Amino acid sequence: MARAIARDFDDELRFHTEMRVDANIRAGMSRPDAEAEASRHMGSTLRVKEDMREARVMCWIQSVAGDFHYGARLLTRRPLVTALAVLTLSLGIGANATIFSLLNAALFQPLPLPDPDRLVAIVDVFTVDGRNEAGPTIPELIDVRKMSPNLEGLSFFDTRDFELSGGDEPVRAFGARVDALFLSALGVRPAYGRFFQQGENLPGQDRVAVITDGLWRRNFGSDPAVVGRNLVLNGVPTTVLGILPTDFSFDYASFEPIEIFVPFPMNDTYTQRSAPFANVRRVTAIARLKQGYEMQMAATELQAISQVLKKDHPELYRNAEGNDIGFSMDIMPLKQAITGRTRPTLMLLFAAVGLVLLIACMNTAQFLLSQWIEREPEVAIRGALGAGRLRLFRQFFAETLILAVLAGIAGLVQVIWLIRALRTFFADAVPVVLIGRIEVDGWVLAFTAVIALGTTIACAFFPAFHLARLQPALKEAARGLASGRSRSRHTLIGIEVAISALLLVIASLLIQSIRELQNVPAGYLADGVLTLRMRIQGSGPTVLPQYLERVAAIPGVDSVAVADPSLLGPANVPFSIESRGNDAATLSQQFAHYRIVSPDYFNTLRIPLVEGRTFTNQDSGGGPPVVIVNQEMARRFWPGRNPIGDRIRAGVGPRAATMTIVGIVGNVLPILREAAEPQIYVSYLQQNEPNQFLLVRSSTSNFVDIAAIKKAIRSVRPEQAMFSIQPLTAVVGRATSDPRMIAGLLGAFASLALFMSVTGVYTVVSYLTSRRTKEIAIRVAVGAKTRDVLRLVGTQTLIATFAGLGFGLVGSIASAAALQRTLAGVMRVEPLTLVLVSGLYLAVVISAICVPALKALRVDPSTVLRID
Amino acid sequence: MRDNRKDQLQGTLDLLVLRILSTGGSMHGYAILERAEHVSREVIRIEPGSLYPALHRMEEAEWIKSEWDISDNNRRARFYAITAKGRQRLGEEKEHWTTLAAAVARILKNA
Repeated sequence: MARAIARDFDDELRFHTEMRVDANIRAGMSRPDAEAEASRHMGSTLRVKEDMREARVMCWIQSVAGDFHYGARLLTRRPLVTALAVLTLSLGIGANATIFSLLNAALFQPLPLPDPDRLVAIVDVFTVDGRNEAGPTIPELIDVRKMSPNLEGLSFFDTRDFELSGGDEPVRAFGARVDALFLSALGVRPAYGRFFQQGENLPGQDRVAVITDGLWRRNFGSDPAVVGRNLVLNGVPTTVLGILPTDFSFDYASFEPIEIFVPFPMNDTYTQRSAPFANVRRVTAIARLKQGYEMQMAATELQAISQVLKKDHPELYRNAEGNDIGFSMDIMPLKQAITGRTRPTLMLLFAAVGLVLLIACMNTAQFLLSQWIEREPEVAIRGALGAGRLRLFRQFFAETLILAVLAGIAGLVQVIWLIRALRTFFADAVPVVLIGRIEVDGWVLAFTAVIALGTTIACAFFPAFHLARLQPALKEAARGLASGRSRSRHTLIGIEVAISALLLVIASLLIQSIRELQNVPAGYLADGVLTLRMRIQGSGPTVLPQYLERVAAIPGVDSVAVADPSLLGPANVPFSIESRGNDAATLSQQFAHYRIVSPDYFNTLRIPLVEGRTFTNQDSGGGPPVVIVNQEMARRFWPGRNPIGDRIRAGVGPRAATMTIVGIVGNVLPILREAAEPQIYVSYLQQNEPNQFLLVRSSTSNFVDIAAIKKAIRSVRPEQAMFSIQPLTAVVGRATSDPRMIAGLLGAFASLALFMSVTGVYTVVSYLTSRRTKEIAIRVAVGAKTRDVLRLVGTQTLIATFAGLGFGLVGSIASAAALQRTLAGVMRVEPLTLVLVSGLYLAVVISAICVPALKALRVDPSTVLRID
Repeated sequence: MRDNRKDQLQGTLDLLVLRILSTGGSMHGYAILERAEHVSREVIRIEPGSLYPALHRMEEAEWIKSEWDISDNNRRARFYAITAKGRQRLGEEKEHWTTLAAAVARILKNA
């Protein structure tokens, strides 16, 4: 449309010109003369067009269209510079929209369940140790159900691996044990069959299961007749009661989709407070609020109930020293309970990426200002010719808007690409399901549009106001000597330096801490070890030694061991020293990482035995309970003494046992910890653990053949399911992938910020300096020395840079302190980092000052002065 | 937006254009300009830079209307014609001008 109008004007004027030329020729002029006369007669085409557009002021839309047309023409006049500006802005927008799409998937999208706002989680809060999202115990939930008639569908679940046999080979299925009300509380209905009924949680009636559509299609060929038939779950025949609808997916607690639901066994072990496992916090509790029964009312009611519980069972709500631990119960939206823990991380990334956008914005503002200042003469002349100030503003905004639309589109393309890249690189870190849920939906589009427009306005305001001041100064502007504006440009430089220095320090801090974590000798050797997971039905102590024996016999196996699922992660349990006098360490409860392992665990992971012995298969249920401790434990609690032969009591609930120390092994750093912590190892034959990691070290450079391992184990027990087969390095890598992802993304953002701020600052500073070429030449002509000139052109910029660095570095130290509270493994800011970052910016700024200044110094003053 | 002096000059240009167009038929800008020069015996010269903005402004005000057509020498040109509203305006402008001219004449003569 804009083009059509402009062509209209042009055509009309061309017609006039041609008529004039014809007339002149008729009057006897030569064609060149006639054309020259006609063009004189027409006067300034620019002015005519300006006024003609002005004439259409009533027709606002047409006029705006003209602005866009004009803006587009101006932008295409310097395509390379424009492309750079669009690229910078789009990188900022793209990065922001990508992180927003993560936030959107994790925090903003409602749960895909009916009426999700009324679904809540019930949690235990302990004010003393700051835990506020602990799962309630089952006896607590039974009491809440009794005392609060208003909480509808109060229900709970926990997740675990199941072994599903009956196919070609047993497979692992991820499942949940749920209260009978769970599925109906979520608000789903069965596609086939039915869900659980009250009573099916009781012993004897609980051999039933509900399966998801996915499992049904994959394992049962979508046959509705499977309802009522049996499948073999953990070796037990189980009746399929129902099949869930296609669109149902519940994957939140673990970020892995649950495929099979079974009743939670409501036997005395779980329901009686006196039972050994009953007070373990194992489940996630949910409820659906009745209409009219609001969050606040439920919270008040739960608060009251928890006080009753505390009065009835005081012993459960005290710590080992007998002090109150500030127990109460609370309620929160289910969504918040599910995704709440990702919030601080995502917010951190969002903040970082916001800063990147700010830098992009400032660069764009500087770019626009430079571009418009280059057009000062034109702008001033047009202003003098009567183009209204509003007109000029509108034109600048039109030009910026074109920029923003281009950058927005480019940003969107980047989002799509970045999400794909995130999926590839961080598939382990961002929970797989969450990342699968990330999509460029309406919200992401809207967000992109809003920030693209927001940046337009932000970028254009600053230069527009500068131009507003410029119009009266026609003469000065036309000569390009204006320098009053440079103060705020220096402020921008300062802010830009501050922000990118901050990002750079924080990112380098995180990257450095990750690297250090990875470089610290971990105390074991993960390379060459293959792991697989399995669930041992019934008598582990009977089958496990056989498994180990058969696998060890496979050619190429160096050693093989089993370990409980905590493997290398932190697993604190309380212990106390039994066999010593009444010193402080004995009386107070201490914590150590607790692992259940087989004898060859230390050999397989190459953990050195320092003193005493490792386990043997004689350390079994029949033998005296024994324990192995690490050096750190010996150093802390037996300084200068030998702990071997002493007894400790360790373990939770029924696992608590008094054991004799028989050996000391080397320290193993728990994953993501920087310092050695006390560790205790107990024998796999003395503590039963159904879930096991099998660790197989190869004696060659290749991993041991998986098929051979499976065959060896199935020769003992054909129905044994084995899953999650992967190198130990991958298991460890996965555990550290969250902080690695954060550090990686922050590193990427900081690099982006660095790139933007360095190019931005360099361009602006050298531009500002080169604009003073003439002034420098004059000063040199009247006797200024190189030193004087450099001081003249550099002082303001250096002050701005130093101020920016100061703010940025102080800010980074403050943010590092704040980060320490949210992220594992962040360390204090190294002075070296600060020096490097400062040096980098100073080098950039100084060269941006010196290169054009020295060039100006070499120029012969008379040449420059003659240009006018 | 414009000061009084400019308004009056513009008013004069409007008056001339409307008067020329009121003779009937439609004319393109070049013809209007020629006609003004011719009738005023070359005393009044209108700059294209003033004429076209005025034409567009007057079209916006709906005193005149325009359409693209083929000129005598087979070129595409924009032809302007006066509207009823324009005729009414012409009457007002004429009266205004006459009053003003008479006033100026009186001052020149008697002051």
